[in-house]
Amino acid sequence: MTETEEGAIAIPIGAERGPDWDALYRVHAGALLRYLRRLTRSQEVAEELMQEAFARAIRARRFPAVADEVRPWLYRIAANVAIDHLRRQRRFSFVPFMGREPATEVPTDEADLVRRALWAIPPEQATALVLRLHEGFSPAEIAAMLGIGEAGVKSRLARGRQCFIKAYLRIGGRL
Amino acid sequence: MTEHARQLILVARDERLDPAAELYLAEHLATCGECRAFRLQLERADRLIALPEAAVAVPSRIPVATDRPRLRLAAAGAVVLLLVGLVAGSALRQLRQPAGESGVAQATASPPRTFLFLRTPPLGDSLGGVRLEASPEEVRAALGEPLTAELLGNVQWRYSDVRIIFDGLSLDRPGRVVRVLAQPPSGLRTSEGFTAGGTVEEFRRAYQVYWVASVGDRPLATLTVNGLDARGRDVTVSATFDGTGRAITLGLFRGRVSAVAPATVLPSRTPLAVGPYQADSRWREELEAAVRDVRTRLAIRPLIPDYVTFQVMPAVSLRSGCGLATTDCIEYRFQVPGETAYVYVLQGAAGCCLDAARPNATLGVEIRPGVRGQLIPNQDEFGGPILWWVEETAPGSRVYVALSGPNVADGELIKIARSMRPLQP
Repeated sequence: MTETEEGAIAIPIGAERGPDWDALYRVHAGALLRYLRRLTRSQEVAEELMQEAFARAIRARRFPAVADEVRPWLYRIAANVAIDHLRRQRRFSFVPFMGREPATEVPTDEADLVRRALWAIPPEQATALVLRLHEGFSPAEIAAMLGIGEAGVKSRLARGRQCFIKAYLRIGGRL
Repeated sequence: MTEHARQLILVARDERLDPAAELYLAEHLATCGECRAFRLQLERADRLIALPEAAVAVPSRIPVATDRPRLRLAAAGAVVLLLVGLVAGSALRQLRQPAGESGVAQATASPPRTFLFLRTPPLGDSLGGVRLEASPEEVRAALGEPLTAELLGNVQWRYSDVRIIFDGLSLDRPGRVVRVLAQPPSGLRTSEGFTAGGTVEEFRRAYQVYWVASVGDRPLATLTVNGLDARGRDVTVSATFDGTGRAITLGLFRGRVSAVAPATVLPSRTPLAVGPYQADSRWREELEAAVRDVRTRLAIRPLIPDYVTFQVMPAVSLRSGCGLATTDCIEYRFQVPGETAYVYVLQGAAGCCLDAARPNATLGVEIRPGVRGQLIPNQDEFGGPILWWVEETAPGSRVYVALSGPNVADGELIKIARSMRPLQP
């Protein structure tokens, strides 16, 4: 890995110089951050996950050969980061603390309620729902990103919607 | 509502139904109010999830620690920290660091709040002047003639305070150095500045490692850092500490150290994501005052720590309807301002919360004589260690206590737990 004068990071891939990470960051970071923000309870956590996603991307040994594949590839990494985080948080909260969130985090608007409901459902379902509905990916694209079959994605979406509705109503949302 | 219709409604959210199914569903919806309501709920839920997020500020660039050019090289393969903490209860008490030093020292060395991997240093490939992959001639040039040379699977050259291990080849066909193991009083130093005989804190600082420790039944603790050297090759630095917290061995290896004992290997993020913060010496006084303010609302006599990782003013709150208890729980949250790092303490009446044995927990963690807790150590899929126990803090006051913190080590939680004392009447 080398660094340009502007600080852009480039990874040699084979004999070639690799991607311009600064440029990729400028193009995709905002969208990834919004995607992750939907899945997390604070801007800070979303930023951390977004950066972790880029960290993983930079560490990856393979980079998509086709430019069109970069975006779904980054989303795939971000989805995995989000799932890891959600699992970790859930386990962390659930075991000793009865699965309740800290009292200091009170939803203040509808977006918060949505995030809390997404946070309450299985991470795989939450990420699939957000990729589908918030980011607009098709089930086939999500399947490719997550490395599962399209039927699996549809199953996650169907179960996720039902879980989301239950969770949203349980925490005080109105549909 | 039929299950068939329900499934069709769900499927129709993502794909077009075949004509027969579409017709069936349309006819069904015309007569089934419950299904219409369900479909309406789904539509509204989809719209909610699709609501755009408010514009968010994106950090201007990938956060590179510009003050440490070498560190950028590490992004090619961020370090995985493995800590194989094998600390006996008695030894653990002695593996102490000065109060507050762990968090503060780390924070001082690492100003950026966010991320980390780029700041993880590439590991050097030499120890005391002996470079990994050096030839025997180069070792001789650095250390002189060995006292002994043995074939123990690999060829090992022993000096008074260091062993050099060559790569599995015989003396008449000398290989290259794959391991260097030093013992005090050698004073050999890694490229990062850690010395045989150094302390746990020095190791942490040298490698920007914060997540530390597990609990086991052995009297030694081993800290291991897997990483890459400047050429992108796997390198491992490992130090074993005795009960006083001094490194009694220091090793530099080519390659990665795999799990020494799977149950005790603790991969984690590293190092601590906490920027500098101002420790506040009044935290304990404030905490005690806050607890006294609500003492009458508690059915228990709560514990107060004398030590916490993040010495900041805690937020104290009561939680009503705490678990299975009919009485309140009390929570302390020590959160570094502007950071995600915190230590969380929950106390309630015994039986309130989940205090049954967990299959993946370390049992019998000694909090104090006669009081033992359970620890779920820091594992990759968890946010951090979790420690909980039940203790009688006064006659008739059996208290469930749980500590956690996504940014702290299990050893830290134990240290906090052991510092906790009942609030005085």
